[in-house]
Amino acid sequence: MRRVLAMSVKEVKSLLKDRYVLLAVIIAPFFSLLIIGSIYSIGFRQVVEEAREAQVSLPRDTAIVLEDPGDLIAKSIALILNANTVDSVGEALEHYRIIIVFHRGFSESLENGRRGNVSLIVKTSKPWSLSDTMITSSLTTLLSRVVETYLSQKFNISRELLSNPLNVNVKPYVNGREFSQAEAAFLTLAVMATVFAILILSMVTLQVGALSIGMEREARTAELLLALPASRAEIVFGKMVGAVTVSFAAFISFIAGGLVYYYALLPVMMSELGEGALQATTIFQVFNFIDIRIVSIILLALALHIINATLTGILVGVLFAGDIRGALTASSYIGLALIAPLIPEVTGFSVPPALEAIFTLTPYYPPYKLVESIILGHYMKAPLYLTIIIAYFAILTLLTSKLMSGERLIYGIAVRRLKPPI
Amino acid sequence: MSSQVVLSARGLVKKFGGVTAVNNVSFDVSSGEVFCIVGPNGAGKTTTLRIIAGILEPDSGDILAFGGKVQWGSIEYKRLISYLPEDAGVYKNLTGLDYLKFMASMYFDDSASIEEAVERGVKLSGLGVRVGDKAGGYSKGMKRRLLLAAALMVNPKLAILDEPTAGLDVVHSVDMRKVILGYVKTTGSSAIVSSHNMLEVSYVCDRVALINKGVIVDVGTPGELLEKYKVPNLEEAFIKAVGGLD
Repeated sequence: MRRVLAMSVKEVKSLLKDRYVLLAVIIAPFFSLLIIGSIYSIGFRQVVEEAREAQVSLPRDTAIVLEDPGDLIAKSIALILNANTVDSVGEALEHYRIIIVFHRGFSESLENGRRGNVSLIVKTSKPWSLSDTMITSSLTTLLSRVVETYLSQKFNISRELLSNPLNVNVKPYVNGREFSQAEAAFLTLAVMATVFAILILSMVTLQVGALSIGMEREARTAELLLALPASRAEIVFGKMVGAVTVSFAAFISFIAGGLVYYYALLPVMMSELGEGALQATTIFQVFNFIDIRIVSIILLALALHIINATLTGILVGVLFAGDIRGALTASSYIGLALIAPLIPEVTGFSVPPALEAIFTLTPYYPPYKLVESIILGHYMKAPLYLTIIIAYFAILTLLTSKLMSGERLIYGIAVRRLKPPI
Repeated sequence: MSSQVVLSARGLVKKFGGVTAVNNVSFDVSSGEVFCIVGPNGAGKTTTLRIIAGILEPDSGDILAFGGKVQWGSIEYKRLISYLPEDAGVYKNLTGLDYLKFMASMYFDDSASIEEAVERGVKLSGLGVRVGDKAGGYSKGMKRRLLLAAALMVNPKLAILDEPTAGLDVVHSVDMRKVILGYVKTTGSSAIVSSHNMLEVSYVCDRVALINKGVIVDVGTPGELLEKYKVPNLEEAFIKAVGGLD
């Protein structure tokens, strides 16, 4: 145990004082959510602005339900929107994907200077999806614009109400269960954070793991390491503990960047859109619903991911990393290959047909599936994913220990001084 | 020279693909002895030492040490030896002191032994206050001295030193030799030293094994070898032993 500890302390000191590692571990993760979030915010703004400029219309699979069929304003808006009107939500859910519900008392509220209540139910496979968020925001803006136009022509209504006439409640509907907007907001952020954490931390942790070997080879210290009175497993384990500690620093930096985005950048970028659109931006409602159980499972999944990805990086380093740049090269290419399947899985973005086959064939990443199984209530699947993660760890430890031979570290073929892809 | 054998290499063979780097190498090292393996570049010195140090697994052959047969990868055996590779570097981001502490922690379990070893290491390194500086800023001589100190501070029964003075200037080379000889004399431990510097060999070694193309061609004290081949120096003895220059 003392040897493992000594090895890990040495590893942390060596890694954290290296400028490549500092760049990869501290700087890059901090800016990652700032950049990804900004791109998302720009895309979101475009969708809302297009809806404002009437460049979008209701999707074909949209139905309107009037809780009060005699509600004059609601009826008129339904006619303007030119969508199918269905008698009940239950009936609409059988045939349509998106259901706009004008609640009872809609006209009365508007005539009395209050916002009209509307629910936007979206049937989806998961309560989180970037593409669904875009759709609901676009529809919210479109509805608000139509109602605003109608009201301005027919009634003498205050400017304040005109600018924001609706109270839209977005409700994802998944496998027979309706989620509240706050819950969907929490789940959206939770899943997005998990996925982006996995994507970003995969690259970082793989690099840290690979660097821990690449640095030994570059400094010509690998022989010293192998001559120490420690088993290969102790060396691998010590290196892993040290590298995982460094990888957790990356996680903290990643979260810090996310908080800066959420509290400083996001409100500024979204401020021009108006309250109606912001209301539909589920991300702003995230703290109205926090499920500690899900937060815990996410942290567990990310911790397991960091451990396994770091260990994978060490194996990549043993197999390929001839020096520091070689470690970065090898781990970057392998990292890109490993994380690619997660991108369409979560965002809902389409991918070219050629890639689709690869994504379909590639098994989903167990730590992500672990989180998903808990969120979707598929509790029986969670032990399966946990077992896969632990088995992967055990196999990887044994394999790396076996492969970390003198022959391989001293004479093995290694990638050297190639330009990393990112 | 004591007659107690601390290590016996028996028929060591190591091949890399079609190349036999070490071919049936056998020798004994006695306690309190500096045993040298001498030969040109590519003769198999480093491969032999890497096998003895437990870094490379031999294709065949055995090592008997400290009263028993060594199982390859044995941690108990590695605790009794230490190894200084020929072109080893240092952890540039660690201080010299960090490095000594790390090495001591790998050999000893209790804090007192670790502290004592580090204290010995600091003295052996001769780095003075610079032991607290990052090793990346050390000169080549300082780095080599630090590595030698780390190898000897753990009080190995057998120190395996591959070209300990390679690439060093005269001053540092003399200094390193003094440290090695001083260690062996004061502790009664043994050392295996590889070198292609015949002058160094004649100063340091009690016995010499001449190795060429992976095969040990002769073993003896420097005096015995000079007498046997009737030459004035070990370089000429080596040439005669291998049958002349190719």
